[in-house]
Amino acid sequence: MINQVHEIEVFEGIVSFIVMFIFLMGLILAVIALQKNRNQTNFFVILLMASGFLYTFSNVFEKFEMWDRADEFGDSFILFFATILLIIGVVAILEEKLHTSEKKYREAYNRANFYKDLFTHDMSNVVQNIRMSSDISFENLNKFDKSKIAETLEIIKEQSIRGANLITKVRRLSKLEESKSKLEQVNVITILNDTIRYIKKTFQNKTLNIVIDVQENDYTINANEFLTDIFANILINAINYNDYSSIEIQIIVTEECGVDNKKYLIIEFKDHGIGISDARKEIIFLKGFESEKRTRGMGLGLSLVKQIVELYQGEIKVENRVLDDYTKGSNFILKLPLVSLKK
Amino acid sequence: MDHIEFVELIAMIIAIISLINFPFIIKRRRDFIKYLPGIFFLILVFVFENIEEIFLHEISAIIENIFLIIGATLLVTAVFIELKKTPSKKKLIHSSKK
Repeated sequence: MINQVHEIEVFEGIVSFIVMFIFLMGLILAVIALQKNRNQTNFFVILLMASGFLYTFSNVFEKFEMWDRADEFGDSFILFFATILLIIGVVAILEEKLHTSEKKYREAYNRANFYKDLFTHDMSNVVQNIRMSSDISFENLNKFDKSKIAETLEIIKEQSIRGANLITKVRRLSKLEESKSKLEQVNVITILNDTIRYIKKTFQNKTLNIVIDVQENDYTINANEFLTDIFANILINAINYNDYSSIEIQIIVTEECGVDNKKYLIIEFKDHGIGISDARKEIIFLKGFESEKRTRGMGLGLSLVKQIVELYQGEIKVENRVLDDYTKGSNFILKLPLVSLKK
Repeated sequence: MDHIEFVELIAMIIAIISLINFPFIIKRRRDFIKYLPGIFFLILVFVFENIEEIFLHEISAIIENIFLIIGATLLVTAVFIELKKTPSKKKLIHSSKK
């Protein structure tokens, strides 16, 4: 019986010796992990490994009767080990919460800056135009040139409308984040057709030939009121940056299965405009970018379009309409996740 | 029951509470699932350590030690997986520059 007890003690001692090295290895790995990524969880994993190591270390001393107080020493570490196990879970949750709130505040800060940049830049343009036009009006007033005065007053009116539109748009876009949860199922083709009608009405002075190539008419996606802004912005750009008297825009709507087995709607806007060089393709979706040739816009840049597309969990990119020749026009490609409707 | 056994009992209770708490942690942090098997076996070590004091001394001692090896190995494996998944600072800086 005594022999059996002794054998078990030796067995436990050997096991503790092996486990001691396992924990030591874990301790080294945890230290490397902490160096790579300094977070609270990794720090507590180190404490866990260290207490495990010290517990097994004291076990070895106890089982081989090398130290009288090894048992007490080991027990205090087993208590420490259990406490760390409990704490590590709490820390993990707190860390996740902290990370989420940090992300939220960073996004809010970036958004505020974004609106500030957009608003100040576009509004200063509007104010500058109004001021210049009013200066010209005063000059013409002295010359009693009524036609010139009417022309500049028209510009002032146009610019004030543009400014008012911009204020409305920025106000609406600032609510974009709030509307994240308010996405609803919408028919893309209906909205696309409505937008085309609006564009044709707006650009009555230009000859527009917008052709839609669509396989079916009931493509549904999760979107909100800003979907029309996406289409309008792409179409207005295609019209504004076009040197032809007759403007041709081809819209191709297709369906695609993504790598994640989700169905996506692909909408291509092909125009015969002045095109976008490869260098500019990379920056047009960045905030703060605005073409120097812009004459008439909605005050809603492509960067905001990208933001809306991302809200719908979609993607937007631009390619040349004709491969390797950007001067032949652009092809804006929208990829939006389709809603699978149960019939 | 002397003082040292009381400490072991308290350690076991704390460990069991942490195990009960674990599903809630995993719900919020899926990456923590890799630690679960190791922690589960180590908590069994705490349980068998207390059982050992009361009855089935030899068998409990053997089971406890087997679970200790398994638990420690699984826990270290989880740390290794975490280390492999963690991008280095250089990579992080590089990707943020992009």
